[in-house]
Amino acid sequence: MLIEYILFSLKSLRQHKLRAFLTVLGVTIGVFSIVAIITIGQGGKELILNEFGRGGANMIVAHSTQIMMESRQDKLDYLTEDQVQAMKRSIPGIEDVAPEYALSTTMKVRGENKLIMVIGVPANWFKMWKLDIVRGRIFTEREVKSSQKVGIIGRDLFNSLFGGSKTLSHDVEVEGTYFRVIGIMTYKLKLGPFDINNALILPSSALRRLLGAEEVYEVLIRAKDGASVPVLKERIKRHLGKLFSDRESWEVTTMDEFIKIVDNVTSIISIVISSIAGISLVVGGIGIMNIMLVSVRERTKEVGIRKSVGATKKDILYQFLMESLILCLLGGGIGIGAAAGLVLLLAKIMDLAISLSGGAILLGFTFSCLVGIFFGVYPAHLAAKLKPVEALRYE
Amino acid sequence: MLIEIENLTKVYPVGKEGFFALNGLSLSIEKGGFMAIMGASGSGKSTLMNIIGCLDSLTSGRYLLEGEDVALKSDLELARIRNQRIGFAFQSFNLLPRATLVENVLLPLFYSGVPRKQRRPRAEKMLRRVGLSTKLNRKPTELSGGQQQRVALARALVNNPGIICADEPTGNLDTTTSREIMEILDGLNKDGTTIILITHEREIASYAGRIITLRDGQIVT
Repeated sequence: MLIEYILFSLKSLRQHKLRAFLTVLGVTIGVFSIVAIITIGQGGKELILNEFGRGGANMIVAHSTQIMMESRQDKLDYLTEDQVQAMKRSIPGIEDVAPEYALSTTMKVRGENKLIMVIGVPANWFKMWKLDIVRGRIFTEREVKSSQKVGIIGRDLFNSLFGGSKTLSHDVEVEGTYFRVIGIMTYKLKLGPFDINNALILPSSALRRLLGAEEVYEVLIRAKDGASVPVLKERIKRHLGKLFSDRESWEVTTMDEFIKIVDNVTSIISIVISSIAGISLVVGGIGIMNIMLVSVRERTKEVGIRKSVGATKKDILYQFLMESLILCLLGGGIGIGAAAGLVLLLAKIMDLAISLSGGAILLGFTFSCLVGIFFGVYPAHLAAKLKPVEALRYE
Repeated sequence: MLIEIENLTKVYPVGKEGFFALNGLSLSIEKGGFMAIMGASGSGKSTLMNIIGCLDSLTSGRYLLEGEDVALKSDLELARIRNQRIGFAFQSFNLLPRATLVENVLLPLFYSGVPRKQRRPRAEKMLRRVGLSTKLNRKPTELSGGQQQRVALARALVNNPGIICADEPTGNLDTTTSREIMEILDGLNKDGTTIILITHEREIASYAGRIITLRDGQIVT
């Protein structure tokens, strides 16, 4: 029976291909948005968490808020190398610390001056922030100690400077000093201007010498195994609070908090886009209902004929309900297909490992079904309750 | 008695009093009978046939079909009756224009839940019986009026109903084709099917064993 109803529906939909297509467009857009946003949101979130979480849950980041805010104060609250080491010694629960130095410098890239982020880090930094080294290696403890002029360069920067050269043996000039490239790194996330793929990482000692100062604005801290990260965070906060007059000048964030922030942001985006998708599904549903009402009216005679040969109310109800269901499933199918296309495209362009999940597809079809049934019931009910003799008389 | 009708009225809600399409009509039809209903338009003959065919409800009075009171039947039971026990032929044929002949004829089988595989052969057999074996997968619009009416008859007969209700089946046909259709109906009646026929042509009515004439919702002869 079910197959027949499906065939009936397809047959009658074929009569009005353009009309059917236009009708389902709203559902298509709604399902497309839902499936796309869920997939992209989920994929993006996983990616962010993956990249952030690489250091592990026992990572804490202490950083200056002033430098982030680009404060105009002449003197920012910074830490010195000694103060960082002292903090490590005085606070129980700290396994390791890695102070970062930073310098923005301009480089001639393809004839244009480009602002490049240069970060100076100790060798143990790489244990906390796990970058993908595409080629070459990270620096050794000794290279850092002896302020070797070596550097690890972001993949994109390397390509624009040396045009995809096969060898690593190149020098990069930073403020008049040449650094030898020993490795190429990549990092999937591009967080605003802070793009590792276009940055240069130098030994902290070498950058310190270049800067002529030792101002640390960010420290990576790793908690000892088994130590409570929140407790440690509070201790660090208190420690820093004693060093600076402005208690707000430094901020301490744990990995868990980072993850929560990412979670919140992606949830908000999801909710906003889902509501838009929801609205378009409702609008699409109203379109379906409208066209089904037209269809019922056009086919009143057909209903009469069917009833005269023994169709029950239920038979007629199912027939029309199936039609709106199929209409919505077709629309939803197109939407899912389009979402799959978009995701594939994004994955290719942005080099992301995202794909349509079975769950998202199922959700797309579920929404299509719900819209088809919800907005199809009333027209189908109208058709079902037509009186045979009146329906037959209808021309 | 196959059909017993007592004091039947059908009132349409028109104006204050309402319009009495049927006004206290009594009638009985025995099994295997062939009855023609004549009368001017508006005399209530189609209303009577629609009520007999369980397509319409009655306002008051009693209609017993094989001893069962039709007024007490549910919608589902009425659909069953139309499906199993009554076949219809209409002046305008009432075929589904987009379905093939076979699909049209197998429709009653579909609604009576006959297994899918049995429907087509049974529909084809019925189409052969009315002489349309070569046009099985044509659409009704490709056929002449007489052929369409034969398809309608094949559809009416496919579930082996005991009663055929034919509402001016020859109204849109020429004399020769009309005669062919009437021959089919006559043949069915000889095989034991009860035929109730509406017409306003004497010659067509003459096929029937019994002729009644309606006027203003009542039987005059």
